[in-house]
Amino acid sequence: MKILLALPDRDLLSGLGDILTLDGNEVTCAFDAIQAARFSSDKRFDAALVDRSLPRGDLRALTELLHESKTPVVVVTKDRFSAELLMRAEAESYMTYPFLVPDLTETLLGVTEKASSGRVFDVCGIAVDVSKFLMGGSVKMTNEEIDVLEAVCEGRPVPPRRREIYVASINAKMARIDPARRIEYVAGEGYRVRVTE
Amino acid sequence: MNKVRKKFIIYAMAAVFVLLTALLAVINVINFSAVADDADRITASIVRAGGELGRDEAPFRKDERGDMRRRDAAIGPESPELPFSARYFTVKFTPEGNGEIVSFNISAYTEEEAITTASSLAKRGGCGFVDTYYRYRVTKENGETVVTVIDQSRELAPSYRILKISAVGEAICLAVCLAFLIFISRRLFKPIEDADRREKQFLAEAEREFMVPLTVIGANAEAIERTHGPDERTQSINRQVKKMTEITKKIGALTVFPVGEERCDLSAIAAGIADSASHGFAEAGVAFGSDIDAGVVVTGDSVSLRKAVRETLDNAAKFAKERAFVSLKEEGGRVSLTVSNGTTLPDGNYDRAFDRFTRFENAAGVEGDGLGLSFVKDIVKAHNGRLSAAVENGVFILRITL
Repeated sequence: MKILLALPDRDLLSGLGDILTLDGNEVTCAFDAIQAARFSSDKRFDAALVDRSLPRGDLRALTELLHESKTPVVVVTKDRFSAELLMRAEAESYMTYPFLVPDLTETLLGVTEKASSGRVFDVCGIAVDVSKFLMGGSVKMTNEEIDVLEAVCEGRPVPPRRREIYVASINAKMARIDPARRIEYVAGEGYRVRVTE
Repeated sequence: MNKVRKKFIIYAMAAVFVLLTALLAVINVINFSAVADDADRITASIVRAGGELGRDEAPFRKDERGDMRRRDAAIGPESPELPFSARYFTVKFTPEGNGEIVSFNISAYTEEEAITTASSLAKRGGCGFVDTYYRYRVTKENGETVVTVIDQSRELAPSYRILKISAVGEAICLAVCLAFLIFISRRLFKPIEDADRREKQFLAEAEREFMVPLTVIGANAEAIERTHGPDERTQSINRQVKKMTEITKKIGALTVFPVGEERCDLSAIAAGIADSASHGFAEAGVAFGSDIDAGVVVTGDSVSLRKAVRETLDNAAKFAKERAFVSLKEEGGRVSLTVSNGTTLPDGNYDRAFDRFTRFENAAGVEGDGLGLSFVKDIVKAHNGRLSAAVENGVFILRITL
């Protein structure tokens, strides 16, 4: 994968850059938004990891620039992981510090795979475009939210990590399209999408 | 407003109200009692005088030398002016119940009204007030009943005025006191609130600032492992990074307890978490069961309550020996979540389990930082709930009541 790392901490940039390169990835490192934007204009990346507090620039402008070149973005933040974070809808995935490198690799692979998949699945009449990370054509979804929603629709167990937060954010986003649809826990069955009256 | 400051104001106002009311009540009771006593002495004098105070008593008296002296001035029953100023009537009733006016020196009643009033008072007996401003006395002697009613309006009017002034004065005092307490408590509690806010801010900032270095340490340890292969030291670094991450996150989370006011389906929360926990118990060879009432709803913060339920079950998962059980019941308007698990701890009270960084002897070799249950305690307290922990017959029982 061609990965852009845009992180203000040079030690972290160097450590992560080394590991991802050892894993066979082509890594470009930027320590501020201006540098990241310049790299993004010169070259297309398969995925980008951007720190939310990247200096010398606006995160939204940088993610829009990356999206223009069809680069999925993973935003890493010091903020607490919450449904409100997922509702910001700036990126295809959110991670919080501290994170483990295997989790980062898994996330980067996840967003890259989805971005190139071309898949669309249906949630009780609402279309979820996986490659565009969109639900109902307009609501931005994250990589993990799509995984959770797919698991629920297929009747598979939902991954337990931060499950309640993802269910809450998915319900909030689904309500924007159709308030009657929500994911609920059914005893003995697990999470299901319910259409309420 | 800070909860503690609010409580301080409420308790202080309650104390002021009780003291002020008691003081003014005592003053007014003494005042009214004095008026009643004076009136009773006058009516007693009237009865002793045969139902009528003699006005032919001269305002003068002879002294020891036989000289005429003016009577000493006095107030109330001792006043030499009393026979001339007292407004009263006396009615005598025969044993047969027939009433006759003995003296009638009053304008507010007609003679018929006087006899009617006296007749009802005769049945009442004793002494007391009638028609707001009149004091009566009923005396029975030789089968006859004598009822004396005296006008006390001039004496009572100031007393009622004092009573009204007391009530208004008390209301004003309480209002001023409340304003003063609000003002002074703001200054008194400001240092405490500032310290509390600074502590929370520091913890929140510390949490945030620790996160990146922890990531750097973990990433560099991993980079070393990739280039030189894993060894004890890098694995130790990874373990400690993980431990520090958990502690830092929990310390940071202690600073933020949003207590929302939404209706939370606690049954769904508990069932979902129990369901995911059951796999872990099964893998660990622990028999796990649950008895969760459906439809249990509480008002609170769903994210916090989820954390509390998860931490409680995580705690059981770490220390459960052979068996674990979770139940959720609603009884008498209270919701009770109980998590129990087999344990090697001796029987006794284990409320200390909710203190920060507290671990018991069965925690040796078990991963953890002693913060999970203190977390649960903070969440439950924020929801005005109670919790308890105890070991009974080899079973650790943790109970949360909301």
